[in-house]
Amino acid sequence: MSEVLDAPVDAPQPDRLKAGGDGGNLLAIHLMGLLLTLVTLGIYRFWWRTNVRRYLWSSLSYKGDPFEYTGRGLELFVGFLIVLVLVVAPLMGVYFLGYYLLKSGDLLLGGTIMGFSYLIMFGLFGAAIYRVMTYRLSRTKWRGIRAALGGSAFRYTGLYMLSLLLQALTLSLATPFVTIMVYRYILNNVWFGSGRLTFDAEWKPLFKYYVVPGILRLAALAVIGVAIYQMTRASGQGDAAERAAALNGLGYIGAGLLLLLAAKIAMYWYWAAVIRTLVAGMEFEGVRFSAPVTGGKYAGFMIVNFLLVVFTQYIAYPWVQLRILRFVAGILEIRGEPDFARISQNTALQPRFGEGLGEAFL
Amino acid sequence: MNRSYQATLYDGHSAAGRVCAALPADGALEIHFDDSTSTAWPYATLTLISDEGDGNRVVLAPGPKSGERLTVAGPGVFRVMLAAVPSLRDQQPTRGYRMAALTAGAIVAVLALAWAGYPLIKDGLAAVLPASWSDRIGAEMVNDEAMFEKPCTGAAGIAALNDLAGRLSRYAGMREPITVHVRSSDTVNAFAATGGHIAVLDGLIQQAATPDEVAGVLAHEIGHVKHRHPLKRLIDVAGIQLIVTGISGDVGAVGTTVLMLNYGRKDEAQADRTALDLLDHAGIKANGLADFFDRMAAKRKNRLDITGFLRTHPPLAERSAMMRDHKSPAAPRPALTDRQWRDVRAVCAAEKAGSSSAKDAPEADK
Repeated sequence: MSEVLDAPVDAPQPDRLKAGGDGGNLLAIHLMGLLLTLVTLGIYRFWWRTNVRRYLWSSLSYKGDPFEYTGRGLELFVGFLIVLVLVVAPLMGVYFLGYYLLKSGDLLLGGTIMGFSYLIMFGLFGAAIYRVMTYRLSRTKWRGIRAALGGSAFRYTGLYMLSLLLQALTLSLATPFVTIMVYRYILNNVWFGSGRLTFDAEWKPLFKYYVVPGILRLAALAVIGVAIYQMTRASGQGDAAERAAALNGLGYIGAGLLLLLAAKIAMYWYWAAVIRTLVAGMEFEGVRFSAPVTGGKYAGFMIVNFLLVVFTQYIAYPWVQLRILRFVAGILEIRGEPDFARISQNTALQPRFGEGLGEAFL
Repeated sequence: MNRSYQATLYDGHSAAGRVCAALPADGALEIHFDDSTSTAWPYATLTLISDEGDGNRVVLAPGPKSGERLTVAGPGVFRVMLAAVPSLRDQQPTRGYRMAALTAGAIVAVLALAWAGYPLIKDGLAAVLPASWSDRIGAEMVNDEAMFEKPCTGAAGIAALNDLAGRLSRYAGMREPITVHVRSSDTVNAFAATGGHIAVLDGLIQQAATPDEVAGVLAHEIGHVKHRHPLKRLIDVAGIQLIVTGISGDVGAVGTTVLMLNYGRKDEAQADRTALDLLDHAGIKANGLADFFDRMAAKRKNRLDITGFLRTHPPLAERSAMMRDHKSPAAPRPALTDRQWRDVRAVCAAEKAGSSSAKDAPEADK
């Protein structure tokens, strides 16, 4: 009978990342960072963040070699200053110009300028997401070889705006399509040295996981919409009518919030399916990946993280960060091994400064 | 003699490593390859990349800028490397006590510096900020409709109050002229803002029994202006705002909260002393302010919901006593003529009429 228990020959044990790290040490880094940030009126936070990342990256290893974060606090600080001067200040200028025109009675021009500055802000939000990912990957090393994110933040911004538009037009039902569209762009631009990650997946199989949260979201939207409609209709019809409508509306809004909470929880099953799909769709130099995580496991993981942070007033935050590493190491299965001799340093993709846009808009 | 450890060298160009043996020798880490070639990394520039893995694995580089990486593995290898190269300890991101001590030292130093230096910085800043700037801010502050309701437009009353303010401030040696605004709020209070702007709320005018009382309150607020208390308070709040913004990344408004903050006892006493001085010079009896304080204090005993001047100003009895001890001019002159006093009482008449109801009508004058 013992042969039955042996693992089949064609399914070798997958490789895994290994997560370590000590919550107490990480807490010390956080406390020191917090104190110095207070003392330096906030400026130290870039170095704080850098120290934390250095610790987290090196707590994760693969094949006995730890990851390495090579970013510097100064890069983040300079990036922040650059964005402050070149992006935030001009944008504020444009915004207040619009505001001023609007207030002085030029509704059309003022409104256009303000709308335009809001549009730019949305766009910069998308660009910021991509710039942050680009910076972090470029400062990630393993075995002395840098990772990188190619592509362009500009094109990503276009995709991001498009995805917002699609979501709005379809009342968020396009979410599975948008998820795959956006991650297809990101993941196909991930590099490790001279090796490039490729990714492909279908969005349709994801849709069934979005049905429940999608319906819950729409229901929440409808209920809150009804409440607002009733309250606006009652306004100006006397105190008694307004009070009754307000009470009634509060009930509707409470129900709406409950529905949103239910949607948020149902989304954990969706995101677990997304993780499975994204990871299974990736390939790197002949290496395939899988992440067989169930919705229940992912929901449990996220809810416990949330409770840990809330009930300890952030004291447990370092442990949550390490829990995330352990979770990733626990679910990610790596099959096969690239020819490491063929992977060399990629000298082309190297941003110079930090995450200023992210600092300003995320 | 140290033992050697199993290691892998990555040259920074290829992800393929070279298996080797790392030997902590004198002055340098020797790296021996299978083909019996070797290299050595001097301890002086040896750089710690990672010491995770329970001390059983350490990643090193020959220098801070080098792309080469050496992963050394073996039981207790980090302790052995530390013994050979004590300076590696300084390159660890944490290792608590040293950093904690440094941090605590830095905090104490900065706090001490701030404690000693801040008042000087504040006074300097208050003196150099352009007058046009504090004038604009002050006008903004007293114009908050949400807090003080509508501006009152009784032209004769406003003129009378500004005349009185001019009479009081003539001897104060002020850099900016005083501008008195009246707002239709029922709250019994008056505020000094930056740039010489003073807001008197109609509630205070209606509660005052004599022009001398209004003159006393006005003189007190002019005292605040003379000593630049509003500007200094604004700098305080802006500083706190800066700190909060720096830490949280949130940008909020400094706004009119500045006006609602209590001045310290020292500032109030200073404003009181100046007020007495100004009243003397203008030939107005100092009892006005004391009378006002006393009646307000009596009112506070009866009613718990008194807001305004009492809440934002410190205990009244001692201040009232100080005013009564003060020797007023032998032949005092009235603060306002009867005609002016009537105009001042009616300064918000138009606004009150607009906002309806008889409860806002002035109380019968004694």
